[in-house]
Amino acid sequence: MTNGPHAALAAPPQELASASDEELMRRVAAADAGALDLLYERHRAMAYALAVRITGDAALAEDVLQEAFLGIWRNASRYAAARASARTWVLSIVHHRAVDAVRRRRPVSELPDQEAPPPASLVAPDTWEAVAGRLDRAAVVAALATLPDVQREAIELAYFGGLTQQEIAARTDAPLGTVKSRVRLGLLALRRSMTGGATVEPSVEQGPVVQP
Amino acid sequence: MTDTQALSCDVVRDLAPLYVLDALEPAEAASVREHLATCADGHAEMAELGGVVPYLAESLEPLEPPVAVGERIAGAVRADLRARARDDSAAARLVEGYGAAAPGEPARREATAPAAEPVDLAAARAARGPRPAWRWLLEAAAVIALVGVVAWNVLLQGQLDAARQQAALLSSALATAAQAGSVTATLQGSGAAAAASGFVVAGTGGTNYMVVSGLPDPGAGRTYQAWYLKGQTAVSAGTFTLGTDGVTVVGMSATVGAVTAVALTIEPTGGSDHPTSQPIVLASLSG
Repeated sequence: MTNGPHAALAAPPQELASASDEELMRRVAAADAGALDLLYERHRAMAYALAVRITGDAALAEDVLQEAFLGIWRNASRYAAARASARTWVLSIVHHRAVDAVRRRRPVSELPDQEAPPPASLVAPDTWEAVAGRLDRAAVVAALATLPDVQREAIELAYFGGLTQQEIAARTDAPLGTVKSRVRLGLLALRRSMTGGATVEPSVEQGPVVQP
Repeated sequence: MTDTQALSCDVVRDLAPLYVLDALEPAEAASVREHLATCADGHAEMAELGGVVPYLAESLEPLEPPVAVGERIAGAVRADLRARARDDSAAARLVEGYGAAAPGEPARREATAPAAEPVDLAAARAARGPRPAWRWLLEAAAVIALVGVVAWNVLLQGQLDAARQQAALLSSALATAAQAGSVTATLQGSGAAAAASGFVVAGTGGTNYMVVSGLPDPGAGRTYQAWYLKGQTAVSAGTFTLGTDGVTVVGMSATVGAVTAVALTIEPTGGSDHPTSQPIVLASLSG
């Protein structure tokens, strides 16, 4: 059983092992299978945790992981345009696939567009690099805990529940505008907690933002 | 599928918090994406709100996936590499066949491909003697793969990806079938799947494969699930959806212990822990 078709799973060369995630992404884009192995090894535990949390189903989460990493393998060349850390990009694809999987289980919901790129922070310069050094889980959990319950609930239903804004509104018995406002305020508060208030306070926090 | 309509900057800003969480209806998300692609405004709120999203994932306790998942991914990736190499040489042959200037150089992926040899179909066939009944399935899939190459510029990328994934799985199935010690068993359909045909390949390690055609749509809220049968015990080999071209190739995780048969049942979407209906397709591996 040891020497199956996947003998290539053997330990990657030293040179690869010390490569940054971003270097690995470049190699994956150039069809380097060993680089994908390593990328998976580095991020599988968080990717699986995310997929299990969203789907609530270990078997489905395994499928999500497989689909997501094959998607990464095929679309790594799109990563250069993402301007996010490789980890963020990987997790956003896992998230998108997991949400896709749970929405497919709910026949009432419009089916997600499987081929559409995950939105998340792909258009955004990433704050990740700046704070990765002092990021730890406890701090994130603590920051989440300080949010008002309605804000945390709205964010969790959206991000971990795979619910659309309309579904969140129905579930929490709140108008759509309120849902959007809760999520916006919650995300901004989280951002302030995690970046130590280094960012500029947004001038408008209620309702649609006014055109500058 | 989406009925996109032009959005104003204000509406996009209003949708931003749900957009970055991937919580818009697909049509809404597509409209936002379209707007962002062409809007002169930088939409800084996307970065501001989207930058928070990574923290949400990091709030979870990491969880190790089963080892088999990594093996399946590594196997599928290598199968994809082999398929790409074959696609490229097939394309080169096609160009030659039409008298155009052939590139005359190795396929572009070859350099980075692992040492695994491409499957020598002719040799495998000769070793196997008479033409097996399932050959036409392979030929059909080969045609699909070739169409993928020729129509590169006209097919939607998504369709091509799906075809590629199937072609990659099929090439893995072939590679496994060509291995010494592998077992190939014919599938027998019954009941609603009486028209189904295909085969199962059990290798000496890694992934096993099922290639099947003629399966009926399982119906809304239902899925196909494959099982390893060990005597009276059934162990799930995973759920799958039907391929778009009538031929479905399924990669199944390796199993431990002696398997006597592989069965297919129709289960509620998401799959079941144990079969809840009679198998409609069966492949006997014993004897």
